[in-house]
Amino acid sequence: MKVKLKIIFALSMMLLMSVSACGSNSTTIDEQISVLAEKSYLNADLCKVNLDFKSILYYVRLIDGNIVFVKNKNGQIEYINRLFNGEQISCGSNDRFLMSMKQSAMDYPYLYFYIGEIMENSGANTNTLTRLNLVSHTIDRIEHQDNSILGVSTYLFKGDIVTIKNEIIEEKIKTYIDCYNINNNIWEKHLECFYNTASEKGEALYGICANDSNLFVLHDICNNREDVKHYLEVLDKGYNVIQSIEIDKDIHDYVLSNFISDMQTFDNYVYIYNASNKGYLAYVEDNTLKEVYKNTNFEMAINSDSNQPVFFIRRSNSVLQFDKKKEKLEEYNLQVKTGYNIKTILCDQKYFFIVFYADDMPDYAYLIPREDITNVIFSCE
Amino acid sequence: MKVTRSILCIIITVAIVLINIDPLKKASASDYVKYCLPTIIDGTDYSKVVSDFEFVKNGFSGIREDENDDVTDKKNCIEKNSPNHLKEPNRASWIELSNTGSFYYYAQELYYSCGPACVKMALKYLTGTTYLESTICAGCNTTATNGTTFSDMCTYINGEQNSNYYIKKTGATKDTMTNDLYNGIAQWSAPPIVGLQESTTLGWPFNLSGHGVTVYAVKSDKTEVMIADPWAGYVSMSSTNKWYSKSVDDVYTAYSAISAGYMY
Repeated sequence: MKVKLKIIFALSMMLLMSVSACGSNSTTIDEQISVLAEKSYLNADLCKVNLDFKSILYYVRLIDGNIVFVKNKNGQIEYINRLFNGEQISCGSNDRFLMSMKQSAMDYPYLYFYIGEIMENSGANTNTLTRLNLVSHTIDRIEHQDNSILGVSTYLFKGDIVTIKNEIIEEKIKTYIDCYNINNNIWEKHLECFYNTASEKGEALYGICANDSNLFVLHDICNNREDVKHYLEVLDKGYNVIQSIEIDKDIHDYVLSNFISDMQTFDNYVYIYNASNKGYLAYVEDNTLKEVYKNTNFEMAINSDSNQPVFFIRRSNSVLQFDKKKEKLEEYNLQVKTGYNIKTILCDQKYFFIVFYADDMPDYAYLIPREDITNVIFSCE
Repeated sequence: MKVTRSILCIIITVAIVLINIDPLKKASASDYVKYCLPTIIDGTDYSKVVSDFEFVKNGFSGIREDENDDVTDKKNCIEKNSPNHLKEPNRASWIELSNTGSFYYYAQELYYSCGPACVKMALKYLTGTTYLESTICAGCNTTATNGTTFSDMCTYINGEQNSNYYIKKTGATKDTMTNDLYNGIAQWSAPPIVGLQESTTLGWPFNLSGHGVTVYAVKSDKTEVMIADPWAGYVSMSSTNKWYSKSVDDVYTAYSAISAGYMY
């Protein structure tokens, strides 16, 4: 009996000691950061990017480690190219700026994007195709008159700058794909649709994105308010519809029932993001959309290299890279100081530019080589 | 027999655990069927949504940072600041304005009239009257170069109705803003208006500095709000909606980016 008691006592002591030892090892992420920051072969502090974050309205692109962003200082809109060496160069300002959207189109050395602005002479609103030269650091407008409603995205498709525009013609809304051919300086319209607001009949385009081979367009056909069919049209390089995929109600209710804020594509995959922050990724197969992933705040990084798509869940530390060989998303969590989360990610062939934020705290940003992304501790201090 | 049963139990348990830990598990259709967003009626007369011909030099969409503090409204703060004791349901659901069928969406008619468009939505709900946006612009001292301040919007809306005395707050903490938006809907049944900076970097549909939006529903767990964005109707007449949900976190970040304030 005494032997049994001794054994139980000894076991209890061992258990207690092991528990207390575990307790002393369970450090917080902040403590781990300070310990691992010394051990990590990549010093995250060396990759820290110092910017006047409070004045930044939005980030446009990451190109060869250079960050293009837009500053809003007391109502003055200014385009900045922050070079890899840390130098910040102003590419010009715009005192007629009203609004812009997320996407820009890269045709080196030019970055193209539409801006909703006030016309200089008449004072009317207009969508202006704007061109930023990344070598000379200058900005200019490509003059073209139309009556399109403000707010269009910008994509590059086989040497054309493409977008969807809306125009109001009495009781009709006209939507069409507007193309600007960079080499020939020619404007063309494709797939013109008309919707009658009085009869609530007609067709409308409302989302677009492009890859090297195809253009993807969201297209509604309305017989009346209750009878609306939703399609994803796939267009070839001649702007011919080669595939028309009917979108089912579940996908529509999840992501298409709101304003489409972003649409991107790679290979046969289509990504859609709406104003309620619902992100949806699917691939086109057998004339249907096959869901890959969807989530709130599921965002596709602005990427100058469409061969390496990157996603992230904003307000978390989760990054999802698309593995083309396995045809699936690989998820991993960045090691970030407690309280900080991903605000946005931009990438190019070599780098990730990651901005972290926390409520009522300053932002922190890092420019990290792609291959090192999992070996970094982001101290955010 | 017992061994077989145990093995079966283990296999089933492991299978259940494996299914649930898949981080990229696809959501089923039913996961978002229950995510029914409150919808509203679009009352916009789009023939009035026009391009304006005045010239502006400050790139903005209509809300100006307010130089006045909240002093003028403090007489009513005691009542408004009372903590919220409303009983919250266990499962988060949308709490809408008490008479949500009377809440109408209006697009802004001018590029700088987001503030008056928000006031128009609130006044239509509170009084049933469809005000002309131009009347509200005049009442709120709205101009193309300066937009509208929340002080002016508060003064105007309080002079036009007695259902809810609006107060303006700037520099509020997230908890304060969250509770105020919640109470604005759940307790006072009056649509709050928020001044913010929309940025695509933060998941908003547009890049707009100095903008105003109306809140017309709130999640019972205070994590999300429904927003009627007057700019969305100004730039789009397509079948996609001009109202959408936003996390309170996102609204707070956009609110704190400028010092325009909110009113509730």
